[in-house]
Amino acid sequence: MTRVRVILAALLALGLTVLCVAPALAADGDGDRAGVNGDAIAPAAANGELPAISGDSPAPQKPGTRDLIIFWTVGGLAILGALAVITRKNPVTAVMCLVGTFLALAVVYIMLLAHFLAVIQVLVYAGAIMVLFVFVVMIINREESDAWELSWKTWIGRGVGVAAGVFLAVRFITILARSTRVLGLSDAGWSREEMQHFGTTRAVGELLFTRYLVPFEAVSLLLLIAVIGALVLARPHEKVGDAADAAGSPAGQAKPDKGGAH
Amino acid sequence: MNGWKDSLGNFDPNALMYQLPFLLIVGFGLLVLVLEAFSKGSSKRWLMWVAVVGIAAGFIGAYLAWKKLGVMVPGDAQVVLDIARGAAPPSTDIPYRELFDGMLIFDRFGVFMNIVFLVGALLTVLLVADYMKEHGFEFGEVFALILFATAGMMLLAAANDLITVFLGLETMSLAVYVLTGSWRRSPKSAEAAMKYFLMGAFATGLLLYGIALIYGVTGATNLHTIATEAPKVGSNPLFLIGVFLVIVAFGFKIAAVPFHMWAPDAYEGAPTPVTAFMAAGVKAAAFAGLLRFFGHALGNERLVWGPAGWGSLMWLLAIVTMTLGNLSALRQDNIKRMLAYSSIAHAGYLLIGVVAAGFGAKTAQPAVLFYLLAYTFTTIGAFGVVAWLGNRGDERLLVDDWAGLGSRHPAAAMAMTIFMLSLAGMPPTAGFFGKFYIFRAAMEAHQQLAGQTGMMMALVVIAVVNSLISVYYYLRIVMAMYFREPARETSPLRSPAVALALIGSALFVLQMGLLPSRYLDMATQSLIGR
Repeated sequence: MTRVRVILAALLALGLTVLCVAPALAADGDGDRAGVNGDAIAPAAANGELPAISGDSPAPQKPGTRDLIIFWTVGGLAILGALAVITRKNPVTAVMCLVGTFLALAVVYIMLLAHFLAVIQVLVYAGAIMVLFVFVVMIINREESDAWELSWKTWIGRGVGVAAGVFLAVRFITILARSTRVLGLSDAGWSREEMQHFGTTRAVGELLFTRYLVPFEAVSLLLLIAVIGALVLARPHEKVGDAADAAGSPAGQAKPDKGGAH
Repeated sequence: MNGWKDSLGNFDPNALMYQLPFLLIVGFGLLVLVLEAFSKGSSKRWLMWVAVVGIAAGFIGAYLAWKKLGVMVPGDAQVVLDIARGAAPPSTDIPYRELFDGMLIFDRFGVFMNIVFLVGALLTVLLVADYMKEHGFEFGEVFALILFATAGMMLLAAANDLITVFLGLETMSLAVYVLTGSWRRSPKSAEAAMKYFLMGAFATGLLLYGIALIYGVTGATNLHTIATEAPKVGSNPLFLIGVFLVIVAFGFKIAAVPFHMWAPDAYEGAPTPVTAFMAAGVKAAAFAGLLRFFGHALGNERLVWGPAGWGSLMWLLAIVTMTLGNLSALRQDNIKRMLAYSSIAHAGYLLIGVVAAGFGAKTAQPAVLFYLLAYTFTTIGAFGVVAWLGNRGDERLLVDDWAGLGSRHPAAAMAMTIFMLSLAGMPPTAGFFGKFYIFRAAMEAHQQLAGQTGMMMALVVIAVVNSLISVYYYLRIVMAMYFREPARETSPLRSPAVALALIGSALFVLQMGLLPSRYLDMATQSLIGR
């Protein structure tokens, strides 16, 4: 068990390092406009996984070794992490592997020039949601060495699971391959300008403050209500002033809470 | 995409005028929050008056927006009269403004709905302050939550895009979930909030899924674009599933059978004024959304008609909702539960209006609007009397508790009688004309269909039979109040605010019943733009 955790910690550290390095590289690519990040996707396209992006120069450069290294590293990390999530028996291990996968995916997003998505991925998924998962796992509080006894652990269950998995994988790959062929994404792709209008912080910000201004503001109202609601429902019972309450309820002796915490 | 300059350039600050009620309500909601945080002393009752001032400001805002949107046919009272008699209004002259890239649309339909919501909020605010004081769970945020919920309803009523529909619905629902659970020492309140929240969350998920499917098929979330795209893709199964899911989600919100299971428990457990707010405001807002999305955007004959049309589905929903709601209400001894089932039944009547609007009956939209206004006054009034009668530790919710009220508190018994008659749809009250206009709209739809089928006719017959059934359980309370000996002492709330709310709503119920034309004229001018 300890060995697994050491490996995991190493994987996580690697992921974090890459995550720290990648934005710098992305900024680098933005600076010299050599299509560094854009072209980093090209090798993946050969596998029919992702559309290739040609730079704005007429003859796209070959992706740099640096980009290839980063891409294959984070791609491998993501897949390894995802595999580990479903194969580890210890829930904490599985959850931590999921964090690693999320971080690796965030790096992929950065390479796709979707900076905003990458930050959100780290903040929301790797941050908030995973903390929630970890809390739940901790609260359930199972023995660490105790494997999850799942009732579907029969050959039939495994067979169905494997079949479904293979089916999904095959469908996924064929559909992706077909769509890249039909749309001609594998060789034409988007120009760098188009990319910058799609996923970058600037593009997202522009959309949020023009077209989606009203929903954006409405969400702020929604979140305000959620905060107030949580306060109203979760704060300690208030002191119930008059004697008439003695008949009303047994909660009269609860502590007052009017400290103005809100 | 290069557009922030453009859209800033196109933005007209005057356009905010249309949104005035919404902005005022949100502003006063924030003001209440701030005042609550900085106020000293334990009683938060005075915040009620801040909220009342805010709602009054909202009414003024609605009046200004109404004026700004112009009149449909300037100065021509005859046209209005003709429409009231059933003639089709000139559809070209409906004033509207689409703002914020088509996210919101401002027309008199929205303004009328705003007025309905403001009425609901005003009555609820007046009822809730002293009710909470009496039952010992005062907190100042309640007024802010009511105002924010109202703002969510306004957003929903002005929504011209499925995104804003969703956000409006959620803003409203979230605040009401909290209000439902706000009586924290009552286990029933917690249970009600839990059930309402879980069911609402399911409905939210279904709504989003439906929106996603509709977006996938039509490529748009804008209601107007969907209206033009939908006839082309009307038979696409994904589109049908999407529409079906949206119907289910709205069915949860309006508590239509078979999606009503949460309603009796939630209505019973929630603090009574909040129940009133749920029954009136939330329902009205959901119907505003239904009318905009189904009655108007999808009001194309190819989409409404046939076994896969949403009209047929809603037709069935209306019948089941009316019938089961009324039959279940017959067996209730708890007045809040009875009113909950009655509210389910009324959702059924209102669905008739939506179906009729889908079939192209021009009188359907005004009829639903009139009904919603009448229903808001009536149902909040009825729940208001229930809230008024109880005191701490003794909520007086059973029909037996109401025995002899007529001799002890004649005014309150009178008011309750008026509300019950209105709910039952008896003549000198608002409820009668509400039902009457809905049924007339259904008959107009029947004529639109040129007698191809007796669908709408059957709907009207079933609705009339249901109204007759409902008379039994409404009059049961009246009977108990007037023809039975008082069982025990009552010590109702001594509250001028509650009295004001009850007297006001009773007067309006009578006025809408005796002189309905003013309100109907207003509703007739309040058509959905574009």
